[in-house]
Amino acid sequence: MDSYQITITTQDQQQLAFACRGDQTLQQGAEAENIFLPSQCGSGVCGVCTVHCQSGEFDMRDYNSEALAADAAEQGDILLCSTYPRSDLAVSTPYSYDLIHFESLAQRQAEILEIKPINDDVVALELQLLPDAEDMLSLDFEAGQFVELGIPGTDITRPYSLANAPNWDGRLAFLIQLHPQGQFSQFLRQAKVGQNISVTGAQGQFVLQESSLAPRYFVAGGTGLAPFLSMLTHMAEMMDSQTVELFIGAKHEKDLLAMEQLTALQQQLPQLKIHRCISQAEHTWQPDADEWIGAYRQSVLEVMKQTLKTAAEPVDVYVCGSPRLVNGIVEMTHTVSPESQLFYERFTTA
Amino acid sequence: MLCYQCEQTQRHDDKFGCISSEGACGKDANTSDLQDILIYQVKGIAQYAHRARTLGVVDRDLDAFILFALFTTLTNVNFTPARFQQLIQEAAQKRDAIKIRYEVAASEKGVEAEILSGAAAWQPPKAINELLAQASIAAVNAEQETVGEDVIGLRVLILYGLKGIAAYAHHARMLGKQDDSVDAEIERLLDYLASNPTDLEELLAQALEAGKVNLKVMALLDAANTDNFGQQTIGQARTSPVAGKAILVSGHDLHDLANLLEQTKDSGINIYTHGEMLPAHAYPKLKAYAHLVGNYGSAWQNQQQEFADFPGPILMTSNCIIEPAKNYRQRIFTIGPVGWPGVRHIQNDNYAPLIQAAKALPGFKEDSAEKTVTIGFGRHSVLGVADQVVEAVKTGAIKHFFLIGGCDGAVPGRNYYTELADNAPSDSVILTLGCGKYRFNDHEFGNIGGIPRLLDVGQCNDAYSAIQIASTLAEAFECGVNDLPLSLMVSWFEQKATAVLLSLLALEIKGIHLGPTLPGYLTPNLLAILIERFDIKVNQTAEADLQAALGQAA
Ligand code: SF4
Ligand code: SF4
Ligand code: FES
Repeated sequence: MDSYQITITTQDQQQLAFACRGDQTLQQGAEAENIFLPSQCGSGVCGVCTVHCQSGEFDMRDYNSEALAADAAEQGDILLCSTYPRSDLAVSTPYSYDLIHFESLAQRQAEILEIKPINDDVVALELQLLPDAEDMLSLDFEAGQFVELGIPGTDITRPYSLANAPNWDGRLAFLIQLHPQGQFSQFLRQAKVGQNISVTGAQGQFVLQESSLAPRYFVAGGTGLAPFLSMLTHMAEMMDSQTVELFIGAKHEKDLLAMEQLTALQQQLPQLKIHRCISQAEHTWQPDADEWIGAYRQSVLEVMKQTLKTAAEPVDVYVCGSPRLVNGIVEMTHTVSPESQLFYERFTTA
Repeated sequence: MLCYQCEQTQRHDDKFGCISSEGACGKDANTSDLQDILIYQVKGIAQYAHRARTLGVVDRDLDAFILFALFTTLTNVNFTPARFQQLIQEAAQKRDAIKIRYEVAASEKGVEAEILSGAAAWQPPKAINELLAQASIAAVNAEQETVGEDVIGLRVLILYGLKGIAAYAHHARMLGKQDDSVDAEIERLLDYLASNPTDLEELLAQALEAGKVNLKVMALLDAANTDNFGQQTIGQARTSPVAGKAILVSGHDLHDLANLLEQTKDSGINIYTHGEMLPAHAYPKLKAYAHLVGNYGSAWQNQQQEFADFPGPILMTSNCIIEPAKNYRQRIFTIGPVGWPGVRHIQNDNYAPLIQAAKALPGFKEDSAEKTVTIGFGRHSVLGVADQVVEAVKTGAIKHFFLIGGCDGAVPGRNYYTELADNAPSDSVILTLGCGKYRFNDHEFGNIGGIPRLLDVGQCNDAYSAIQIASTLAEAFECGVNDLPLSLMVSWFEQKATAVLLSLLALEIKGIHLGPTLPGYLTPNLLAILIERFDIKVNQTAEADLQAALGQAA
């Protein structure tokens, strides 16, 4: 099989190159040379590995149009995990060089500290990392990134965003959506406190744009709140005074997650505004106007549309949640607020 | 953006300056523009502070703010645009406050308050896009079309000198040393710049005035260091790690280091100095902390490798920070004027997070073979052996002195200084200052009759010591400093070196070698003036310059 030269230019104008055979995806080719470009599902459904192809021939197949919209593909965007080279390629990435890893991600062991049901479908999981061979207790991650959690005794791993901020004591927190058929969900239902599981990572490019001065709009659906809890906690620790508004979408009031934690965060981040958007709120629902800045009997998409329309300046929109939510916001920013920057992470069911 | 304040500024054909979306140092265009705006406001504050002072109003907190604000804009100090956005709003409030105090004092004294315009009256918009849209009023080359590049060159020479002065004065202040006459002079010079001066002779004279204040400031800092930590003494600093948890301290601020040493003294964590912190090991009160175990790494431009390899957290107390790589970004902390987006900042001298990080990180597993470097030739040490030195010169054992002072940088051209040191004849003594010395301070130089041939005087601000040493020698020989067999090889990089250079010129020291390349704002005309009046020398090859220096002295 022919091998091609793939040249990558990162957002900060750094270059790297690797060889890739025609029967490998670009992601596989890069990983074969120990280059780890941001990716998540590896199977064309999440869109995390989107890059732009500047020149060259390729074959992109077996991917989901939710991960890469047809018009984006027409503009030359490709998914690294679904693209096979047919010539040398020049590719540019929407992220900077320091988000690329150059070795295999370390696998660590962690002990389960707590498994706490939050509602019928969501649990809060807390882990304590065990020190690694170098006697290192903490995990090197950036707020917003995810790790792979492994099911003991199997090779099965699933990606979950960290819900707490980078810390030195090795505590890792997660919000996990339970799916009836999900393998990790089934494992969690019978897992015990004190049991060890593997943690691989962290990785992911859904992180704060620290040098951007634009207001930050965080849009969360369901457990997509997790990376925002991490980012907000991190911002509070950094005494970051950047304008930040959190839009939480839920069907019912009872689906709102981590409300106590958010209230506490509001104490530390006085500029933080929180908007609850409940699409199917009970008629009896009476949001307390003092406690919360915004409460709407509307879907978060509708609320975001209004918000973006009336925004006085370009904003940085961060979205995390279901493909439907993310795609809705992606489309909306293009039409309503094209000057705004968009960062997103899709949660897929596993 | 346009920034050409440091030696690594970008060069496009004949034009100097970082003008694209990011400077060579990693400073982005927004940060650069916001820094310019802050400087513009500081001039406005100084316009009022200067006038208020003539009416007896002294506001030391405001003076401290001016120094701090200037310090944040030095090369390799603060890269956080959001921080500048805050400082800009703060500066506007401070300006409004001093304006009122000035007006009240004027009416109390029965004089008419001046109505000031320009920087003194400018109000920053709150929205960031509107703020940035106004950046051109504050650009360093504003007015260039009408006043010409020579005028701009001298204005920025004064401004950059003032930035360096502010950094030194801030360090001294943190250690409890402050002098109203210094603050007054800094504000007077800022007020002078705010008047958009155009007379070349006057600008040059004011640049030398800046050099004079800097002499005072360096003396203040010298006194601050000595009063707090004792006189530098000659000794060995360990340069190889010992087993145990570890924190690395970089930058120049000895006050921060002292605080950290105090807060960690019973924690079992070892503290290492990096780069320009090396002289700390020569101060008795700092050396007294047993857990100040040694120096790790070399000059600033190697930090990305060295910090990545260091098995503990890193504290950056002043310049020179470069973009923290992913592999240590989570464990580098900044303090004081320093900042990098997304990097943890120590507030209120509370080192708890840093200490916690040190405990969680591996530290050094084992002792490595002991290596040391000799340090501590501050002026007290050198002058202590002055008789011996004078004697050695009289007998001809020492024929020449080289002072290799200033900063280091990444470019290959800086090898010049290594070549110079290595090829200096064996009957010459080399004094070093600043971080440039790391290129050769591990080479073997031997000694002359017991006097080591390589004497490290300390940080770049210890140029004050070097000047004292030179004056003492000149006295002993009953001649002027310019008549000594002494060559000054100034390796500049950023604005503190600019301040030191102005001080040397103010002392009428002639024949300074300035390199590795000349400041971008020194136009051919300005350079011609400096050569004519001060015999400034532009670096040729190390060999040629060495010969010229020795030939001249003979
Ligand atoms: S400080 Fe130096 S490198 Fe940085 S932008 Fe200014 S001139 Fe360029
Ligand atoms: S001497 Fe100059 S270049 Fe060296 S670390 Fe200090 S400020 Fe930076
Ligand atoms: S990693 Fe390529 S689409 Fe998910």
